[in-house]
Amino acid sequence: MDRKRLLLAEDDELLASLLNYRLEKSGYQVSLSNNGKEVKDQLGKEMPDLIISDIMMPYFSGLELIDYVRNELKSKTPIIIISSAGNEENVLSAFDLGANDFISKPVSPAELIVRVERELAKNQ
Amino acid sequence: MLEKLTYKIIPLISVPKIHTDLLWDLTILFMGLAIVILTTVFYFRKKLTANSRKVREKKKELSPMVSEFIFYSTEASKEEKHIYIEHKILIRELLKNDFDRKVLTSILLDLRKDVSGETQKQLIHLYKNLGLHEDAYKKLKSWRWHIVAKGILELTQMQVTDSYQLVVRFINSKRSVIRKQAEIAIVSLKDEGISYFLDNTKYRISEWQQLVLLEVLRNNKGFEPPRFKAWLTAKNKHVVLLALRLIKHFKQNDAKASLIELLKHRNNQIKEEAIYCLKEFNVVEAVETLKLVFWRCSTNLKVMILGAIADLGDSGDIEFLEQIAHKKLHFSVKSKALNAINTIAPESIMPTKDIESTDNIIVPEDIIIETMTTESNEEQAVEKDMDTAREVSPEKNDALPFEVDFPIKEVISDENSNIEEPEEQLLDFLPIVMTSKEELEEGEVDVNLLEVVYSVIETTNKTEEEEEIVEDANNFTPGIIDCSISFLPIVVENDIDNVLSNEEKLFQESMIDFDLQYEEIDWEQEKMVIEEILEKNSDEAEKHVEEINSIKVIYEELNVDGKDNDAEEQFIKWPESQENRADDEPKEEEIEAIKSVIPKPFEFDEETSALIRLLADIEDFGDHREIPFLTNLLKEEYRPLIRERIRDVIYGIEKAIDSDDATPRHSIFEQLFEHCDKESKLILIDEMISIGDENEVNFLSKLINDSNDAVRRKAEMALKAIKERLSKVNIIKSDTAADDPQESQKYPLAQSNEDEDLLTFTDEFILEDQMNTGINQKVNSVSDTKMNNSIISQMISLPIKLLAKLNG
Repeated sequence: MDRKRLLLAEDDELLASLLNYRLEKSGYQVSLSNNGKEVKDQLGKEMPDLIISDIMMPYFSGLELIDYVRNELKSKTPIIIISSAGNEENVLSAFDLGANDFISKPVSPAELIVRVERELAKNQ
Repeated sequence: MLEKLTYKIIPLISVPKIHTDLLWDLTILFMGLAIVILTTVFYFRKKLTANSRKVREKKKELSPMVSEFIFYSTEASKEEKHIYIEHKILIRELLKNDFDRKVLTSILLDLRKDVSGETQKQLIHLYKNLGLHEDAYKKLKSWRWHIVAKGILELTQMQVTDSYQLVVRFINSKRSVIRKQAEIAIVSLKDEGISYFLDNTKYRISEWQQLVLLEVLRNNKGFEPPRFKAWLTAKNKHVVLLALRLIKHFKQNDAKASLIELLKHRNNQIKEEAIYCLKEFNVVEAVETLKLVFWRCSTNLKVMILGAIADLGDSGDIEFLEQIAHKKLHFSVKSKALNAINTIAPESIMPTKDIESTDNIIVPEDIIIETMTTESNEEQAVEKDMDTAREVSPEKNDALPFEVDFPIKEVISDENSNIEEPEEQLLDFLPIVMTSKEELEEGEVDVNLLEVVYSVIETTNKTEEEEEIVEDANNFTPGIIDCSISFLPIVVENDIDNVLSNEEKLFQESMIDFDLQYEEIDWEQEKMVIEEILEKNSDEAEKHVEEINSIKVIYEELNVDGKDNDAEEQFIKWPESQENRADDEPKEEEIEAIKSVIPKPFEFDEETSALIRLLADIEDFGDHREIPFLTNLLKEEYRPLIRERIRDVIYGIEKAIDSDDATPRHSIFEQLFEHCDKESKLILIDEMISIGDENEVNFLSKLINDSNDAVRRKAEMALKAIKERLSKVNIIKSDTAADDPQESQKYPLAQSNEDEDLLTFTDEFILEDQMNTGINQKVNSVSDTKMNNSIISQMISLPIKLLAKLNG
């Protein structure tokens, strides 16, 4: 069975590493990106099955990423947004742009896994 | 150009003569200093950069390890377990290095902010497990305040509850940063922290800090707040303030009296908070105190108090509010007072600002005609009704639903308040023309220019005053009625008439029915019928009595033996008539005779009672050991009742002994035999020969039929030996019985057993041991007790012992 490919865009290296470990342990193939530029490059090469992105990232924010994926790449790949608590405006904007789900910081890795599974199941 | 000047420049300051070499020297010096500074800056910058790079790299190195520890589960694969163990060893090594420890702590603290749930718990657990909190403890001992604060923060974030006692001492630290950090720490580490903090804090608690503490408490899951009213009496006003905020937050409405008292506090903030609490808990008892303290408060507080009165007050407070509106106070206070009146009695005060008079408005006649013509017939009818309504008499007015929401009362003007009696012309602004709600809201009320203030307006929903209102309405002159209620929807009158008429009809109809039914019942006739029924009933009753009397009663002889219990139970004792009872009543002489026959209750003296109790106890708890005592007692006792009782007790004990003896004898070796090999069995049989008694006879008899020859033979030998020994014992027993025939008669078995043991074992200590192990416990105890209890028995036992020793 093919492992699902996830793109994790998170500028906090520690959190990214932790989530990466957890997601890989759950059987996903994860590629990490610490900033928007890297994300753009990776998306240009290959479209993952799901994107997990922090809303606040250097060079290329999460909102821009959603816009890029939906409008330029014309992809319907599910996108889960990670946002800080009390950042409702950005979350609403993300949903407007086409985000599928969001999870707020502090992140519960177990919860993230459930959301990823759900989104992937929806997309199948 | 200088020549053209009209004035001459006189050089007042002459240029100092500086040696050129000195200038060069200075230049070189400053350049050197600049180089040093720049070098230092670059050096430190580079160092810091290198350090941060090193930290970053270390974090990269350690973070997967941390993830491994956090997400490790016991169900992991072999490979994962191997990696886990390797990491464990590695991390232990790393912990020896201070830098690595710092980086590890930093990683865990960073991650703690970003993760939640089970992962966070694991993270905290890992922090403690690695002993990183020890570093935080060290930080608390630092003389640098920022390091101490950092240590407290670390312990708070990682929920190291053990550090509570260490942190507590910082809550009154002179350094505000340390103090604030410690306050947060003790409140978040333990539930009782807030109580300790409020009890002990001496310093000011800033607004921000109060918010932070409130937030900490709010996020503390399972926190059970203490009753914060306890701190309303605190000396520290900031504590009181925080307590008030906590009371409001946790909705603890059990401190009403204290809250009211705090309205008198000198501190305005405390007053404000108290007012908030009183409003929150709807403490209507506070209104009087609010009115009292109002006059000594600042404008802002006055506004707040008026707001509170608006919420808590009732119509009785309107007078007070009107007074405020009349006083020379700040416009916002006056405005709030009017606002409060309107809150208590809605729309009591109407908008006055920029309201135009309608007196001068001339309505063109043609428009009236036009409208009249366009009006429907129904509207015309309404108009007609309105005309008639204006002419309605006061009596008829009572029946009308009085629709005036706020009957206007003329109030006697206050001379001091410079209020003029409103003239009739000024009544133009009154709300005869009803404005919409929106317009009212939009209309601004200039309180200073308000002309209509001085009329008391009461709501119709005040039931206590409804009668007054109706009276007032009745007392209105037709002119006033015409003026004031002309706008009312008189159409209602017809409806009411209709309703009333319908209801009246229905009522009258029902009354007619009722009357008819009532008329049908003739009292006299009814009385006769009742009398007839009563007579009939009494006749029937008499007939029944006669029938009963006519029944022949057959008397049978009473069963004296009382065996027929059923018949006794079925027998019903009928109450006898008064006459019969009088006949059967026994005479006094007879009663006395009967009384003399009845034995009088026997009363024991104290000694006898004690003896009876003792006998009862012996009966309940005693055994064969009590028999000698009882026998002696029987000999001494002369009272028949007691003697009988003693015999009973002895009989009971003997019966118990007999029943014990009747039980089949069980060898202790039998159990051991079940689980041992041949060799062990043979050893056990040897033991039986040496210490066995009649208990072993049965068992040995069984062993004679054993499948194993060796066992069988050995058993035969053992049985023979025991039987021989028992026969010797019987001889001794018979001798003893000859010495004490009574005893031997009573306790043959006991006697024999005692002698047997003593004979078997020459050494008394061995005998004691045997007794302790429970072999022949009962029999031994009998002999032992007897020996202890009776000198004679001891004397008897002495020759027996000697004889036993002689026999070997």
